[in-house]
Amino acid sequence: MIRHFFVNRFVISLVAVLLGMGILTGALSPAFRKPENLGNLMSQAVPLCFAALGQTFALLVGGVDLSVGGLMSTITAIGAHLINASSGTKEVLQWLICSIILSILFGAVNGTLIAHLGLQPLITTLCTGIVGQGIALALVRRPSGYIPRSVVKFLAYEKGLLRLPVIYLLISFILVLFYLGYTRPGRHIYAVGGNKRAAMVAGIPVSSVVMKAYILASLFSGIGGVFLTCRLGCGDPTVGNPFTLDSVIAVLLGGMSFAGGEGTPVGSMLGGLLLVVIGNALNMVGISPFYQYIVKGVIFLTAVAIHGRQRRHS
Amino acid sequence: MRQVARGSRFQPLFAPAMVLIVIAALIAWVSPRSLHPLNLLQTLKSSSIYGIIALGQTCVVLTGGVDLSTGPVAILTLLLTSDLSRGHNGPLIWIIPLLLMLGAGFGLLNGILITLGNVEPMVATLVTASIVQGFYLIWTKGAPKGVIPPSLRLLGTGRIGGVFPAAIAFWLVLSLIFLCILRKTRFGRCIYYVGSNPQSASLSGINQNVVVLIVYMISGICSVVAGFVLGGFIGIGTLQLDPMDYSFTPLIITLLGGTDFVGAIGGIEGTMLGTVVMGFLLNLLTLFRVATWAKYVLEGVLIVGILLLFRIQRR
Repeated sequence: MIRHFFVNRFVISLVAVLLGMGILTGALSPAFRKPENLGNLMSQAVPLCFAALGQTFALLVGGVDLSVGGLMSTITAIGAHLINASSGTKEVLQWLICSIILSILFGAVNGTLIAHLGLQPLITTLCTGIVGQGIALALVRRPSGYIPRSVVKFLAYEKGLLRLPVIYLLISFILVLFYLGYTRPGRHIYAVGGNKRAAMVAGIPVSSVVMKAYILASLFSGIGGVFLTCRLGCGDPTVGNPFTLDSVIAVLLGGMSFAGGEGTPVGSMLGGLLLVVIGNALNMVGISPFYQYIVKGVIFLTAVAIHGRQRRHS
Repeated sequence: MRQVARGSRFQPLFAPAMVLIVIAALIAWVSPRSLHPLNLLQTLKSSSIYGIIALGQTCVVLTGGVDLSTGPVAILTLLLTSDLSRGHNGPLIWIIPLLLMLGAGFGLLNGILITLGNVEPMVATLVTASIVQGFYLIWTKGAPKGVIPPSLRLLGTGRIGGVFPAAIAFWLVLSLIFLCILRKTRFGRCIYYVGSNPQSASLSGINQNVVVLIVYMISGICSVVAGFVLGGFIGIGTLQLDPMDYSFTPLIITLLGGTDFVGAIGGIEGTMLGTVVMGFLLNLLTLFRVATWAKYVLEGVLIVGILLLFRIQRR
């Protein structure tokens, strides 16, 4: 199973594109090859990769989670409220626990509305995202607060190329791989996404699987929000917004589809990484960040066009 | 037969109408004075832009798709109109047709991706949304220039007979045109056929791809038209507006009007009602004098609540 996760056409083509892009940008811009930038790139990728890991679960069961941005913003806002320059590990732990509980709550609300009450995932998660945006605005009106690196050391320690958030990301990634590839509940998620009726007939508790998927989706994007806050060093009520659609784009690049049951966490991680590398590379080569939208769009277009064509053939 | 048809036609309007009555009652309870017709018109005026986009969105949702590129296209219209015209009426002669064609072009791109590229509607329209955003950011270089010409300002802020806002009249006329197209023309019926059962539609000789292409083009054109009215409201090109707000709010209006994602359920009359509901809802939240954050929370909760009610009613 794990072999299938790593060796498929999306993963191979994404790795090829990433390598090609890396070599090309490295040749064009010496700054891109510097170790500082590589470290920077890794830290930049962590929040989006976590969000993409979460989004993977939502798309696997044939849904989508648009509450990612609202949730991430809320978590940075809570951080700015609980932590200041003089706080210690206790406050950070409080914040972590709060964030995890809140994430699970968001996932549970999404899951209940979608799995048990039959609402559309798109509009439901959009609305919970709006609610999250409201909570974030209630806590901080504008980017404010101060969360020093020294306080959140055990989350965000950085020295040279050693980046603690990246290690947390890799651990989570391996756990997700194992969960989706080898455990019964993980295989249930694929089964439900592949064919809801067949899963139901096979005796899989479809509603609770969908519920679980949304809780995991929110949990991972919440953790992404935690690392985003550590990197940001303050609370910002709108900082999460771009992550909503970026995480969706990342997982679609990684080979998932809105139909569900398709795609792998490996693809999602690489998709997230690709988006971050595109942004970084364009900056390093000196192209206006405004072109990012078009470049992202075109890469995305190519990917989905190939994806669509191949799916029709199969 | 006729009786049955009529029943099924107006039945989806039942729930939105009830919601509207409840919200109106709440408004009356919180602040009786705001039920004054002038205030109600003002309320409607602010949601008529969303309403115009929602007309196109409804056609798209009726075929079983969704268009998330509407917001960026509307913002693009606002920015290009102010930049190209620089406040003069003259250039509008070529700006308006140009932008309408551009909107239709982006719709065509969506349609081609969906029909020929076999891409899911949400994905295709998100790509287009991203490209349109990039396009206007590059065009304006992050610093929008110019103002909206007076004739368009009149569309956004003018009042017919000094009372009735032109924007509402414009929205009403467009809605009635759409209503006629969807209910009375062959093409309108085709939209419903394609939405209810694509296979049997194409078996009965309807070219499904053409219908889908046209529907997305209509949505693009509606977004451009809404962009003109938006320009009339605001008066200048600005990057301060959230483009996705103009994608998602019309979608919410469409759903509040009883149109369903499964396709072929609902229609323009529902969307007209949905626009009024949305306007009243936003007005109610303003009347409660709650802080901005609570407005967001209440908006999310209320919309989920209303959709949940629809769901229960349909069971």
